[in-house]
Amino acid sequence: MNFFYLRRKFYNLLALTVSLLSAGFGIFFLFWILKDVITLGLPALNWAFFTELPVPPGAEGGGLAHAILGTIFVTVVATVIGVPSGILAGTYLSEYGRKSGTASVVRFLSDILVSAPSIVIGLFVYAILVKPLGGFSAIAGAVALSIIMLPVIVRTAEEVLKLVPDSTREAALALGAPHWKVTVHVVYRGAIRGITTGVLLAVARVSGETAPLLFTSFNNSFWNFNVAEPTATLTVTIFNYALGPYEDWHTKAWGAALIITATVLLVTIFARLLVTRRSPR
Amino acid sequence: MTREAYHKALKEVQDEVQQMAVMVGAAVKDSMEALKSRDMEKSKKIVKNDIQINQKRFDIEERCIRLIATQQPMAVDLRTLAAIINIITDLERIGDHAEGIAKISVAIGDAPLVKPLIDMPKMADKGLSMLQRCMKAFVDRDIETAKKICNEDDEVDALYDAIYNELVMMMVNDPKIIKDATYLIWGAHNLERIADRVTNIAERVVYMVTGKMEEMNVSKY
Amino acid sequence: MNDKVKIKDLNFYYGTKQALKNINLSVREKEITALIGPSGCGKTTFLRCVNRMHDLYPGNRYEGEIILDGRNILEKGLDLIKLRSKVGMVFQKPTPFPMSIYENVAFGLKLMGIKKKKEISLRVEKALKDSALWDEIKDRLNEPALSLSGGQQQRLCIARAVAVEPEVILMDEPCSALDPVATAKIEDLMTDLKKTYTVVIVTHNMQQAARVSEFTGFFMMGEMIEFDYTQKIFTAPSNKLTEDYITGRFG
Repeated sequence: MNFFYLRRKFYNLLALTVSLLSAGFGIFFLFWILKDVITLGLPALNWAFFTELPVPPGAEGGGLAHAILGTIFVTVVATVIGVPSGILAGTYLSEYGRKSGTASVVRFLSDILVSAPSIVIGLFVYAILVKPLGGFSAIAGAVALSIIMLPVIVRTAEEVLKLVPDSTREAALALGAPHWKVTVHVVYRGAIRGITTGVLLAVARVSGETAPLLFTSFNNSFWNFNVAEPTATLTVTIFNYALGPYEDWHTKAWGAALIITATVLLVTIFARLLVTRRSPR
Repeated sequence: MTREAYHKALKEVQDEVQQMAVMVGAAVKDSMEALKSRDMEKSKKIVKNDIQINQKRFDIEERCIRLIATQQPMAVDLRTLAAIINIITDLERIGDHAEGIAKISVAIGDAPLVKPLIDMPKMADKGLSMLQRCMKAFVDRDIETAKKICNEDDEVDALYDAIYNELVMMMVNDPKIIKDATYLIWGAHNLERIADRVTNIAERVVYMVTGKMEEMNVSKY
Repeated sequence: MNDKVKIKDLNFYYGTKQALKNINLSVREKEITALIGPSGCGKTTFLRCVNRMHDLYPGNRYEGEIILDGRNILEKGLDLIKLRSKVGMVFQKPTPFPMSIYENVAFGLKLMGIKKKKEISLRVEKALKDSALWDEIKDRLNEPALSLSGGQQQRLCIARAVAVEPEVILMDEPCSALDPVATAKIEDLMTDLKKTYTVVIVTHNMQQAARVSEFTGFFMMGEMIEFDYTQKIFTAPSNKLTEDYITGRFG
């Protein structure tokens, strides 16, 4: 009796230790990355970093203002394309398609799209936009990012909309509301927080993407305000600067990494806050 | 206040019980008056009208059962309904006693009464007074009064004893009056039973308020 | 008193499974009609026929007639939106919409095309008063409906149904998620509602049927076994099955 009890206690302790160690292992690397990004990136950040264009290679000073603007621009356009279509597709799956064959196919394809390597999506956009239009462009980058965003938003939107109980839909229909009004006025309102969270997470995710931008929006050393022209982005700039031979480039790349990381972190935290604030109800 | 309809229905049943008590009281009073005034028609009418009292009792009983079936009365409400079902049985029996007196009056027919009615009206008055106060105690949930009424039964019993002894003496002296004197004894007995019934009702009032079932006064007869 | 809804030979199928068999009954106007019976007996299925709620899901099929004010509501091409504004429904679990208390009640009014703010707020107030909720929540109309207690939410749902002034209100076990006090309040409310509306209530709780209704229908295995005055059903039912059910001998 006592032996069995002790054995159980021992196994319990063992399992606990192993899981704690594994968790610690993961967190250790997370903090290590954060520490490196902060210690190495912080020195790069100054007024010029946010406001000036890069100086010629090898020279000190200048900034990545054009890449910051480019990233914001590409991400915003990607959001404008990806979010509405994603939400509408999610709405179709949750409100109209439901268990139909079409809906299952859409769901399946969207799951495949989630796991598609982002570089493949970059290549795809290169083939359908960059090649035919005769050059890299900001819009091509945005399209690539929106494709990456799309399946994530479709599935989150669907899941979140499904959380609104059917009885609520029935109650609205029983009042004589047409289907679309039920969706827009009742179901969306119940799911708005969840959808916002999903969108924020998706935006955070794509804002850190590099691969699909390499051969879509490409790069640019100057300001670009034209959607049809190539544009610089922070992620691609990191890629280029990190591979470059100059110490100043490396520092700038760390600075860019810090900005991206911090933004993604903040957006994620904000999204989490939205979720937790919903749960007590 | 919730369940208004139900409480209103309960109140209505109580009102019905009071109405029935009034009907019964009137029957007792009329039957004594008819006996005294030798009014055959009136006596016959009382016998006939007893059907209405019986009907009233069935109506109230049915209402109680319906309330129990549909409203799931609990605690004091349940006791009230249970008490009412018993009370209306006693009231109905009091009605029967009034009918009994009326029948005796009819049976005596044109013959003069063997003695003037003195103690019997006293018994009737006492019984009616007990009934009225008992019904008031029922409405007011007044157990003190109810308990007191039970003790008053002894006075009625004493009157009955007096009447009984007197009539027996008269019969011994004059066997010719045995038949009519016996009728009067029956009448007095009916009156005595009325007071006993009122005692039962008073016991139900106490039960209704306290939830305790107890015999308040054991009648001599 | 007139019959508000007349059901004639109603059969209902979920796909190939027959859920209701030959239902015939009449719902008296401005009275409460209760439907009782064991789980899965078809009483909720029946209720959802009356506002054609089954149309939401594919494969459901009706046969027979449900006559509301002289018109068969099962006929093809019937305007369901109009039907549902005439036949309101309150569900088993409170179903407040994710919006403020005020907006919940105003929702149906806006659907009806009422635009004037003044009229809407007057009718919201009236509906909340009719549902015995006004005094409890008049200072918090703009709070989310989900912040109300379960009983209040259910009364809000009743207010929402009442606001559009339907003629018939269907209640599908409206108290099954509520505590006894909230239940008593809703039952009182029903008694008030029957002055204006025809109410059909499905309930698992036969004591509730006994308390609130004038007529009771007993359902079993998709059939209506007995339909009569409530007091008759609960004191002297004609059918042995009904008697066995209400005395707890089965079910």
